[in-house]
Amino acid sequence: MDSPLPIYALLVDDDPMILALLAAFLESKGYSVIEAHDGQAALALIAQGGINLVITDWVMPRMDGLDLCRAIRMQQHSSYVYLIMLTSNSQEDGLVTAMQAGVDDFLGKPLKPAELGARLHAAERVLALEARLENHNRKLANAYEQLSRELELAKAMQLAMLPDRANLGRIRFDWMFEASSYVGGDMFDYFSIDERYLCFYVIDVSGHGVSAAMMAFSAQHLLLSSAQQIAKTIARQGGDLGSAAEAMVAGYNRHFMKLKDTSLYLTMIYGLIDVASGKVALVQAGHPPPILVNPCGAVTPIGDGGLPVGILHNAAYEAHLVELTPGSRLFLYSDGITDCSDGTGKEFGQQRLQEILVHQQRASLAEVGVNLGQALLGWRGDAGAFNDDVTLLCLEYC
Amino acid sequence: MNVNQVFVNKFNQLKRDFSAQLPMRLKAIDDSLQACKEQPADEVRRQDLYRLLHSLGGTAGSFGFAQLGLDARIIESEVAALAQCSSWSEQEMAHIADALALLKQHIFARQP
Repeated sequence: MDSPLPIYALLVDDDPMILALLAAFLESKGYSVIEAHDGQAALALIAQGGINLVITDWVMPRMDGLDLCRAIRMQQHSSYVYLIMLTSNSQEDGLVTAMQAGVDDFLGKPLKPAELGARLHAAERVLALEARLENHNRKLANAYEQLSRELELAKAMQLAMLPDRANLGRIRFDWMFEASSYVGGDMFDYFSIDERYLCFYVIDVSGHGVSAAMMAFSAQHLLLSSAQQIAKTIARQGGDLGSAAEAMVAGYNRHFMKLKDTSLYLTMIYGLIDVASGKVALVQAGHPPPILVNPCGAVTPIGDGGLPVGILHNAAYEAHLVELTPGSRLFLYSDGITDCSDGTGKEFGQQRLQEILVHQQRASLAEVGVNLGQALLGWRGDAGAFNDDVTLLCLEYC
Repeated sequence: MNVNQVFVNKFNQLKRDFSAQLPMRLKAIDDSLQACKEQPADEVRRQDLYRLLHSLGGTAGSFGFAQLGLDARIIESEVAALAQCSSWSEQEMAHIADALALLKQHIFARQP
């Protein structure tokens, strides 16, 4: 059981005899007591801190009890100050006023020790509750601070793991990424499998926070370390990129389903490119469709859905094949772009995204990213920071 | 000696002190009333008188002088009722003085 909360009482009355009587009673209860003869003197003592109980007379010179209580309630105190007002029968009409001034309880004059004891017991109960609440709040604030630090760290790690902008063979890669206010689960990467083939992907782990970020890191590690396996799979499929891509995503799904105690899942676009021919296999696993913009400005969304990874044990995936011609651009993105909402809740949408990508056809990939980022911020307006990660991965076939 | 006994002893000492201070308190009230008679329109003086009576009423009752406390409360109420007036008439002053005299008679009649 908790030890009793120490009570530091301030007694305020212009009659020294009442002060002496109250002090004797409170000290017999183990309270620490100090005294003041009017409201102004009391305020000066309260300003020194530590007081958690004030018993004040109503009628006093210089500053009366009502004004004292109002002044106390207007101040900031490190802990709650419980206020008891001494009243006489003639002041009953003013009780509502006193309560509005912040008084917690009343004690009638003439003083009766039994009643005084009961009122103090109630005060102790409230102060103990307040102290417990304050303690809980302090613990919560500490936990929140620690969690915020961890989220910031996870966000920094997420940014550090993003790939360098690069040209891999005939493919130019660029990207735009804006982390949400909370760490999210977007991740993307591209890497060479061998001299002929490249792999690229965008994933979006469900939810936010450290668990989503860790899952995204884990996915990145797994996919990056799979280059040899991809090469073998392509060879096993007789150079069929589509079948190889399907097999890789299905294998990844099986791996994901083995993870226990997670309600997470992820959406993904997984792609393999034959750099020499420009042939691309794209597997869409519940992710927004990639957008192909060919050199003459025609726009083609690719894919029609697919199951997210981590939903079904034996999910099958279907690859979509496209052939890039020189100047073609392929854009992969997360739903942080299309679902980005303005102040009224209206979403940016895929149509708006496609229009921007077409209008920016003569701009460099880097400029496309910057301009799209600005368009999204403009769309958000007063709504402020993004509430989901925003990812755009751009590929251009040179 | 337990804490309750300490409090009881302290209370009895305070009660004796209050009894000893009573003439001084009554004189302070007399002086305050006299000050009001000299300046009937002075609100500060009237508030002082009210405060002294209010204090006597609350304190007397708290130390076991219940009747004295009630009598003081009655006069306090009359003074409070007159607080709305901008100035007190001689008749009103005399009424308060009479009530105060009666209060003192009761006190001294009860004292050994």
